[in-house]
Amino acid sequence: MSGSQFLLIGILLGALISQAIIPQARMLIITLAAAIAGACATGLGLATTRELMAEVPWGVLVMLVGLGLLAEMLASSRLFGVLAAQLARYGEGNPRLLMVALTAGMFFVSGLVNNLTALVLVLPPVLVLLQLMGADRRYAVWLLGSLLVACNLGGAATPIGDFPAILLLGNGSLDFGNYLVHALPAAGLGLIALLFITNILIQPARGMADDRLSRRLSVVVMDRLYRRVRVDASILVPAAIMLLAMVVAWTSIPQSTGVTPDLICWLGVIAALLSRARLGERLVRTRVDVEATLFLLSLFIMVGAVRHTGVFSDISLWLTGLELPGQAKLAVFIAVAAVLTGVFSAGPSMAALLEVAPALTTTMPKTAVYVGLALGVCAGSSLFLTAATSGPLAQAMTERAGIVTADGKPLRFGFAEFLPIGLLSFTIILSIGIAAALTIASLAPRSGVP
Amino acid sequence: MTSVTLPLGLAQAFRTAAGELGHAGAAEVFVNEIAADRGDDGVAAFRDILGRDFPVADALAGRWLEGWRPGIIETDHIRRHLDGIRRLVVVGLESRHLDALVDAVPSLEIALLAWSALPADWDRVIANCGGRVTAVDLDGIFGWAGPNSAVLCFVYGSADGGTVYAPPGWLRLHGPDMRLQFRALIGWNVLPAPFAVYPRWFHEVQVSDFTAMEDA
Repeated sequence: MSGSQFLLIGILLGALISQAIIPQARMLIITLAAAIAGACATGLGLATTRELMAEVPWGVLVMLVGLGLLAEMLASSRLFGVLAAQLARYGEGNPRLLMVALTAGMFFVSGLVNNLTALVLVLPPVLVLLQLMGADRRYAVWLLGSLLVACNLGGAATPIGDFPAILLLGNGSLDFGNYLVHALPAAGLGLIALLFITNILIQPARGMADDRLSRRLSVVVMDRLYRRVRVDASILVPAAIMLLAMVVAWTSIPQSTGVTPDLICWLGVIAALLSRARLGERLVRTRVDVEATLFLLSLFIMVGAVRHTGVFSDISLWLTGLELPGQAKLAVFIAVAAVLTGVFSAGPSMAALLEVAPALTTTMPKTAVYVGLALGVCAGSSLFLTAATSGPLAQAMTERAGIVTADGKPLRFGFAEFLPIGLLSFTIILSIGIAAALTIASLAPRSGVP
Repeated sequence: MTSVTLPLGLAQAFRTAAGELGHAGAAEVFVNEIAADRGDDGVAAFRDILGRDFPVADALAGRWLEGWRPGIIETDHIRRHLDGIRRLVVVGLESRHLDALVDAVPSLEIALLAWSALPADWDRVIANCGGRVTAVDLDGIFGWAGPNSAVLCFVYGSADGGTVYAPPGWLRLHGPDMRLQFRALIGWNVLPAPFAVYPRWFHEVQVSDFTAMEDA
């Protein structure tokens, strides 16, 4: 490894590790590291900061901000709160039914909006339910863990569900329809496998006191808490119409026309916000996710600087030079993506691996490579509580709720509690991800998938 | 003490419900469901378990055991005090009473002081009011003052001794200048019954602090 490679990779890894250790200074650490990476790249003659900035995939950031605003608009319609209350009602306070209904609900919501928004929308009613049910510790931890994994799976199921998929759509790696058709069944299968194994083999509700009164109370109180909450159709309808129009445009307009997914997103989201101008203006002024945008911008600059050292080309050469059949290389790539994501989180892993992925697409169908990559990243995001930003958020929300479990002790939902769920989910999603990618690759000659 | 057992975690469930339904509103739900499932012995057990921590629930369960049952919320007596009032600030939260008031006086602009000792999702509380109620904080209340404005506070307890129990928000709000700024200060006594234990979560205030006091 050359000195410049060592220095710039060191800055990237140092920043990622430091922000994980000192999360209260996360943004300062990451933005400072990006500035230092830019300065080093300039000083070493690798690339000027202007060049690094020009290489940032701005379309991805536009989509991230735009879809975030659309998610805020959907949330303002109260759709998701009402949906969660309905799921609780249909679950009839039955812990097993509730777990299935809520996990499936989270998968659906997370496929429409980004993971953090999905969590912020769905988790509060679930935490209220846990308070009302008097759930035991084991059940509460498995329910929260399953929700988190369903959130990751839903995010990977659609091209607009979470950052890695948005990145694939935004930078033109894969078109909307192609991604959806191949990733959604695989992610859905992952959810079914998770629910099946959890409910049949692990049985989190086993041993939990099944008291009819407790079930009845949780349903009646949830009913009362949402007694007159109604979905605001004047917000929901234009937002849903514009989302549908965007999906139609994403699937029908070829990128070769120059009408890129980010442009469609930009126009669609602004049109949706204009339909409720006062709300739209307020959302644009106050609800743009500046933290996520700045984090990714800084990350792209650091990864860009590392790219100029040639390290990704070296890795790509190593990968293509492996004495393995193409399908085995693809499996190794997906597994590496999963492990890297588990350690470094989705953003950095995805940004780096996208530099390597094109090397594989020379011998394998790109759909198999990118869908496999997205599912590998999804597996890694589900490995540890710290692997995705939604994990620490779920932990903080749970602790803030101050839930006391049936044994009278405060509910803890931290790294150790999540680990068994994480290991199970990682294994399931990674296996399905590799199987899906290999299946797509093997069927490609007949299906004509790119 | 009774031999009937109730689900574990009942206190937490009640606390969650009381935050957004009100102490009396939550107690009505719990007592009703417990009575349906475990009978009067269950209601007595409910008092044993929760009565000390939630005295309004204790008093309401006690009334239940004496034969009282919650009925439809009457608002006519409150509406009489609202003649000529255009804007109303509500202090404290009792969801059934607030819903009834919102339905009964469609022309009234209502603000709810979004502040209580128990945690509550105020967005959800407000969303239950069909766009008729605005959340307001302590600083914002005086923006609602004026000759056509009134304050309504949910209170509890027998007023025989010249005092009732009001939520903490009332103490933060009430001062000598308040009568000058609002045309009426109405107390709506949700539970006009004596307490067996001191009603923590609430504060003893003079009935004379209000310009009108009505029982539910």
